[in-house]
Amino acid sequence: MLKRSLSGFPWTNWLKWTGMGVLLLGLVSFSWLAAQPTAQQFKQAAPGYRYTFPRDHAAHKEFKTEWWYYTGHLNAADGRTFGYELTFFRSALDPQEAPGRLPWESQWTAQDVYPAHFAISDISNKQFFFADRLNRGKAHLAGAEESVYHVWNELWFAELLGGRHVLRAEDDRYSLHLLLAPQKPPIIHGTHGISQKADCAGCASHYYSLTRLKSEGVLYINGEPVPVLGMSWMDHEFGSNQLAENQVGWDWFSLQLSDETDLMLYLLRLDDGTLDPNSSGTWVAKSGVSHHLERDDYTVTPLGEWKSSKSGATYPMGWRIQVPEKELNLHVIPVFEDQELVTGGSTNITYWEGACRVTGTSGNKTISGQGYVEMTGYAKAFRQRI
Amino acid sequence: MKGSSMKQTPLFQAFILRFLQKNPLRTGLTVLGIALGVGILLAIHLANDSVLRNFRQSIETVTGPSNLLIVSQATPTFEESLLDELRWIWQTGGQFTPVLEQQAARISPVEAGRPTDVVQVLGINMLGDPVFRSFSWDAGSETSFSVLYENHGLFGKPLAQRALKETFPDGSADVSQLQSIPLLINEGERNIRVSGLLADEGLGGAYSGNLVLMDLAVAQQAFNLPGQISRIDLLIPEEHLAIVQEKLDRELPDTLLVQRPDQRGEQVEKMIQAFQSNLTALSFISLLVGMFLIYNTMSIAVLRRRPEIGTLRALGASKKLIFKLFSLEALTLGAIGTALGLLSGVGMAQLALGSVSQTVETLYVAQATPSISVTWGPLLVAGCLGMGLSFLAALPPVIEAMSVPPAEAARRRSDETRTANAAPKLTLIGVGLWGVALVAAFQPPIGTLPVFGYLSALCFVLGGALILPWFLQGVLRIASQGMHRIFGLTGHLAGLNLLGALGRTSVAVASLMVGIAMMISLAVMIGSFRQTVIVWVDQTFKADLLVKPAARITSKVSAQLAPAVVESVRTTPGVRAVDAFYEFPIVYNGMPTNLGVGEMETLFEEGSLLFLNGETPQSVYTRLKESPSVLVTETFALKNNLQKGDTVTLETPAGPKTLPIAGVYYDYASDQGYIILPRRLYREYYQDDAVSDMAVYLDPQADPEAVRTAIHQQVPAGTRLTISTQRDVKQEVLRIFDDTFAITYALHLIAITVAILGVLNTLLALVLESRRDFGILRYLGATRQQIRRIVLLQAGLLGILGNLTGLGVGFVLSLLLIHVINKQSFGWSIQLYLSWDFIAQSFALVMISALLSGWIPARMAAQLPAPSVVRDE
Repeated sequence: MLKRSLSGFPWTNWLKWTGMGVLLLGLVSFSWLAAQPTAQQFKQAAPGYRYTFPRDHAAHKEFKTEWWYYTGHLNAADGRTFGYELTFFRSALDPQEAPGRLPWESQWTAQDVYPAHFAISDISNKQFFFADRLNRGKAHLAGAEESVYHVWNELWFAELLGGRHVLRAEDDRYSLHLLLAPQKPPIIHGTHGISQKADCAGCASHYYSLTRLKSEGVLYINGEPVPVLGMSWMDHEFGSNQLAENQVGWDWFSLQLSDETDLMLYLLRLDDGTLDPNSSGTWVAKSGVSHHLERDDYTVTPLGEWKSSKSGATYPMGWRIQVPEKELNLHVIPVFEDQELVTGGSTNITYWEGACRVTGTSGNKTISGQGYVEMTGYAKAFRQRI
Repeated sequence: MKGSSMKQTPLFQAFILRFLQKNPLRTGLTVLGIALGVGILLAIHLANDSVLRNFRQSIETVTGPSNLLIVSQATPTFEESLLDELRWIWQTGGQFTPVLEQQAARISPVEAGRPTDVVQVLGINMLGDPVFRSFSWDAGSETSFSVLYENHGLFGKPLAQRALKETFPDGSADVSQLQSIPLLINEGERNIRVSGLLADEGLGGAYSGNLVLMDLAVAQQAFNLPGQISRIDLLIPEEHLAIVQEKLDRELPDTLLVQRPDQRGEQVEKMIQAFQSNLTALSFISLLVGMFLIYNTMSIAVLRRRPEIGTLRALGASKKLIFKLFSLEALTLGAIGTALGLLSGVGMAQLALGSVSQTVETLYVAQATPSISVTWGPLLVAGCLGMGLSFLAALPPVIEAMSVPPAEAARRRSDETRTANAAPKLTLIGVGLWGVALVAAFQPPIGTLPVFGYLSALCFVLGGALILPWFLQGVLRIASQGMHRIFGLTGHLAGLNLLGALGRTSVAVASLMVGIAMMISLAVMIGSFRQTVIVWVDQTFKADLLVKPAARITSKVSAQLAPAVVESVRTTPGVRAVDAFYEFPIVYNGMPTNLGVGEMETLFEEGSLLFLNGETPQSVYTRLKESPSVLVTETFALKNNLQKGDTVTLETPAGPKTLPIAGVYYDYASDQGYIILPRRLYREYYQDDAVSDMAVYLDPQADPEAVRTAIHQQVPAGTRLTISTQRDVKQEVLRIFDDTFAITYALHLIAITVAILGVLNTLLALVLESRRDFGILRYLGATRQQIRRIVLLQAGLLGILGNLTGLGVGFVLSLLLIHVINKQSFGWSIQLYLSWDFIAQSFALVMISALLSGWIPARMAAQLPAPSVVRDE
């Protein structure tokens, strides 16, 4: 079978030198996209954006960068549990930064680049698997439609079918086919339709989530179909800005709690060790009503750390999260430590993206939950690249 | 056993090594002969091997881990839209990716902006391709996605370093400062920005690093081939491979071919096989001449030491011991010669490589000059051949040494009467061999290999050598009488002495004969070929100017002229007619050949092709006009066993077209041959009107130089054309010819050298051998002058005999080379032209070296004090 494992995948060399690092981070978090002179050709994420669904699930090519991001926890009938991540990215080549013209006469001209990531955490066996795709927007390779929600990369896709999301990804070891039913309406993050990422005007994105997607489908393990049920989370974000110089990384949390409330938090870390005041979050009630959380509305305290033998990076591992306003006092514990994505030893594009379990209290009630955590910017060389 | 070998060592030193030391000149000559033979063999082998290895490696790295390729056998490129229909392959777990392979030329500022070498350009899907090919690079002047932008590429390091050296000869800059490298692409010059430098490993090492990697979109734009690709690489899981291949085979249009990557390499190898095996065969000849030297030396050594052998035998030495001693001697000579040969072979390989790869690049496939890679295999083979053949060549004299009876201790001479007695029998065998040679000469080749041709040549030479004693018997009898008349008694004695030692004389003349025959036959073959080409060019190339895109350094670079350029050339004042030509390689019946597209009206009204069987262009043209048909070259017709009136079936984008052959014409441009399709039909079948060269015919009063300038001015700005006048073209043809035969010339020189070594060696041996006779003559009162004269006359006589027999055998060999070996390998008809100049020169050269090599022994013989020699007796 074809080997497309992460570490052996040669496009890491490509990433190494072409600034894909920036892109990848952009993929991982919009907070990275800030502060650089704005590219005038692309639309800026501006306050007052009005969302219309299902249209806003589809692509927004007037913005430079866009991604669709699914994570979730899946259970098989035999008790095995899995975490998954399936992400589709679109990044337009920026004519302003371009070192020349694009070769317009060719069908192969890459106006948009489409990476995609697919990861499975086999929680029962503590095995982590990762595959990716990198293609230009071209009919037979990859693309995203603007009028209807259909984004694809080779045979991977995400689309809307009768209000449900259909996901499909395949690789040599794992394949996934899921039907996701939203349990809550889309949650718009930030205020006035934008999620601010840095101080500058326009350093923001349009960002919404479907925090609870009842999931059913089949996970294929080495060709063997395993029916699964579970709960997913979808993020969709689009904007046009570059990251701020002084932002070195970020920690992102998406938690689904047993009282059917949800919590999204992101911490933007600055190079002086402090957190960017633009860090924020969203609390979502069982009813689907959301509440914007400012930087000061929550605390995140790391409980331990884990040093990756692959990248040498040291990550916080396990957190205590408090949201006083909601009387939330949570412990977030990774299902296992090694859920790090190392895109080749030399690329230094390395991040941690993993399934976690949640325990704690809400008021005086004990609650539990599950979630995904993403941490970027911990591998040292990573910063040098930026 | 152990004890005996210990005893033998001092004996070997005393008996063999001292003998070799005492005869340093002859030992040296023999060793040199073997060294040259082995060295040439190794050099050619290494050069051939390196060229092939370079191909194989480049093909391997370029196709990467792909296990299936889709290529076009009918057109240079094909529509990329096919890719959309291959998406089902993903569902087998497979991958596929398009590739556009093109060539550009590098412009060297050192050589005043002239294109210097071919640069491979690989257009790949930069984003998806790394699954197929491994490569990495150091960032150049720019980062980000610059590779996806117009005129950007990743350069092989060696290429960039050469460009750097030429741009900054003082070495002030390093490669990372190289912003862009100008390349000639088609008829334009493009500055390709250096997005990065490829690391040497992986793809960066293909084509010796002489390549540029571009994104497919960038390459399509640069080469003006929108939507075109030259290949699709597929990577299919093994378990589905067979079924995918079968489905593709069934469903793809006939113009496309599904093949395994190694089949691609095989095609290239097949193409250059004839050329390479000819070189190998030629290199064997010098080794064989080297073997004659060792045979000669050993025969003389055994003759010289008959008394010693007899004494040893009388003292109880066994035959086995004698065998061991002399075998050791031969092996020592062989080992030293082989060792020197291996060393010099590696050195000469570098020289040979330049020539071999130049030829391959000019005639077969555009590729970068590879570097020589020395592997153990060829060293071992050449070493074993050198040692083995030395031993084999020495075997007859060694066996003779074994047969020396103890009683014969007193006699130094071998039983010369034996040779004389055996002469008729040997002659009979010789005639038999000639018969075999004759039959073999008329056998067809095996594939494209003229195996029977080589066999015929070998049998003829061997037969000649066997007939030689009988021939010499007769000739020498007459000669000695003739010489008596001219030179008096000394002449008579010189002749009789040679006749008396018929065995030795035969060996001497035979080695001269073989060397000279090789020299003469090669010279006649090359000379005839060259003359044929000159006559052909003179008769067929009537155009006044030849216009090419500047990137088209060789006809194997697939460069085209833009329609606007073609049009402005046509409309330049003074231009009367134009034959716009286009050619590209195709596969016909599984064999690589070329499709040429020409404008028949111009070709027949202005040019003058030479048709087989003396057919007139008019009658061929009539047939061409009557119905859709093609012309083919002699080489193509021969390889496919076709003739005028037969049909060829072309796989065209418009389906297979079966067309009759209107005429078969002589052509020496390519041994893979051409099918020439009238442009009208090409437009119809291929929906294309590409032009790679334009043969321009001028108004009678127009000045070619002026029109050339006018064309340069008339074409769109920035157009880079190479415009040659008729004279330039003819010179260029001869330059290519001479380049192609450079290595054959070199082999030819070696043949001369080995032949002269043979003359020296033989005469030296013969004179030393005749010491006794001279001693007696001196005893009987002959003067020193008389002795010297006898020796010189002998040398002259041997020279003449060697020359005459060599000329005879060489003439027959050249017929075999021209009409059998060359014809079967390449398919070219060559007219025999005898260069009397050369023959006279070589005759003189051999005579002079014979007399010169007679001079030293003549002096030696003359200075022998009579009593000492006779006392010995």
